[in-house]
Amino acid sequence: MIDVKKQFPIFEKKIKGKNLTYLDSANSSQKPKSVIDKMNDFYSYEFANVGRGIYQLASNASEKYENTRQELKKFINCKDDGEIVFTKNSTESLNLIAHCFGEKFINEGDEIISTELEHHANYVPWHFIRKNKKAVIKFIPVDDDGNLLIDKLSELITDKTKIIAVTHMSNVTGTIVDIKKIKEIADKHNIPVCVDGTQGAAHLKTDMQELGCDFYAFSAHKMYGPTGLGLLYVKYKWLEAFDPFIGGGGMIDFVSKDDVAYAKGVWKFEAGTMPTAEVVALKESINFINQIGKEKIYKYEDELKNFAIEKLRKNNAVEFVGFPKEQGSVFSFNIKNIHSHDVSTIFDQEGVAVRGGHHCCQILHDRLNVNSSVRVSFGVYNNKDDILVLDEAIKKCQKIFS
Amino acid sequence: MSEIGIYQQTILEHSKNPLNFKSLNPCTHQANGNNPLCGDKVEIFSNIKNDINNEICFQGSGCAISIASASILTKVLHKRSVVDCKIIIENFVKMIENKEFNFDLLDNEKKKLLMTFSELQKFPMRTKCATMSWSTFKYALNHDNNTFLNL
Repeated sequence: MIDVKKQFPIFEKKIKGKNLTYLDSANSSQKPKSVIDKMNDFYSYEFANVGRGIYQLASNASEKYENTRQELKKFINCKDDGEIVFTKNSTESLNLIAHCFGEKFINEGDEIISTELEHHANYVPWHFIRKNKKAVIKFIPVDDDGNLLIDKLSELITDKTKIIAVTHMSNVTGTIVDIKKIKEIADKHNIPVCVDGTQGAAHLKTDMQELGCDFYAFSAHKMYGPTGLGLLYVKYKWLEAFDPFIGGGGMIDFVSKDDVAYAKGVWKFEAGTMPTAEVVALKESINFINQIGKEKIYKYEDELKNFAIEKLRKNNAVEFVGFPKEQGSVFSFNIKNIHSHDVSTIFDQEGVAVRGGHHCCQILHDRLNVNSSVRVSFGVYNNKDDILVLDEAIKKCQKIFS
Repeated sequence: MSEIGIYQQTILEHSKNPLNFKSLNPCTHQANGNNPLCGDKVEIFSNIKNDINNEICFQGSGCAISIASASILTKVLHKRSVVDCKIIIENFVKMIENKEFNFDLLDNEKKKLLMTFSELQKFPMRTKCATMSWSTFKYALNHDNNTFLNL
């Protein structure tokens, strides 16, 4: 049992007179007081821009900013804190990789391997490259249960394959992808692997040495941290190989009328004023997760998910969208003959927050033959009571539409 | 009537058994609407002769609100002139968006039918569900055949 709900001020709020049953953490997680307080404290008493001023406030702010990078280094077990780039969000992290890698290493006729599970954020940036470079995107298929058929990967690889872009965990079916297995196959052909860790980072083990991937994109706001801050692990060799993504202040070494030399390492990718308070407060989110422990979080959320699925399975009108063998704390379903948006509206009257729609995964919804679905996703603040409320809310939908 | 105002019996009935749910080929006007937020789709067909909307029908997939709204659209705009159609569409959208509107061109029965959607004003996240078919038909009226509207 994890009892941290009290640390989240949002749960003091009533929604239409009812308690908030927040089942939308895959969309964004709620924030503990320690993170909110840190944002306030930093803006109130510690704020200055980082990496610029030489006065004490600026120096202290810069130190705090870099402290978070060091914490992240431990959090994802990378070799050097100089392998972590701060961005605007996970989407920007993935765009950075697609752009920097694609512009330099992908040419006409080259192939990118994606999967049918991907969020649009790990597909559309590669589509840009496909269009600009006349490249090809191939997809590792999923089966009807939403399991990724990794055995098909070897058949897709040719001497034209330049990169494999794959999610760590599906934001629709919750499918957990065996990145190590993908990496093993990729290594035989010397192909880099880009992982969308947006869903995985808050729930699964994020050990870069164990996963072995070249890139891992994730997002602060899905791991109890602030919005406006994306994170990107880039294996060191690529940092030097890539040209910059965005140009401006902070990413230069020197500038003259004839030429520009770029900063080294991660600084080359952090142009302009960064989300400073967000970076500083992220350290509190990491502390929050570490205090509970990743393994304990995984186990707790897994129990909740299993309890929810068992409960919902008893209802014949509930149709699950995918049923993967390895599943994180996310699943999607439809109630027979009721559209997901109608379900979401009725749920809202009960204080139940879920997401309805295609969850930015149209390719996966097409593959699983549904237009949209209702998604339930958990965070550490959820408990079994939330699932009982969910179950009642489903029955209410059925009653209205009977 | 359900305790949630937007799911009134009229809307639920139209969503379960929509009127004029079919394609029309050939037709003089046709347009596709798509709501990128949820993936809902609607396709509207009509035959306009001598400026009168003689035949109108639709196909698509979507939530109860969007299907009921399209169904009621086909009932309300049938046999109306193009100018009338445009005025009614404009005022329906204004009602949903909580702006000043009037349904002066309609009889009481049809006014009442459209007013069943007035509760949508309290659900701004669902505005497009109600207006998608109306905006799509307006687009069809303003353009040549085979048009596609991304809302």
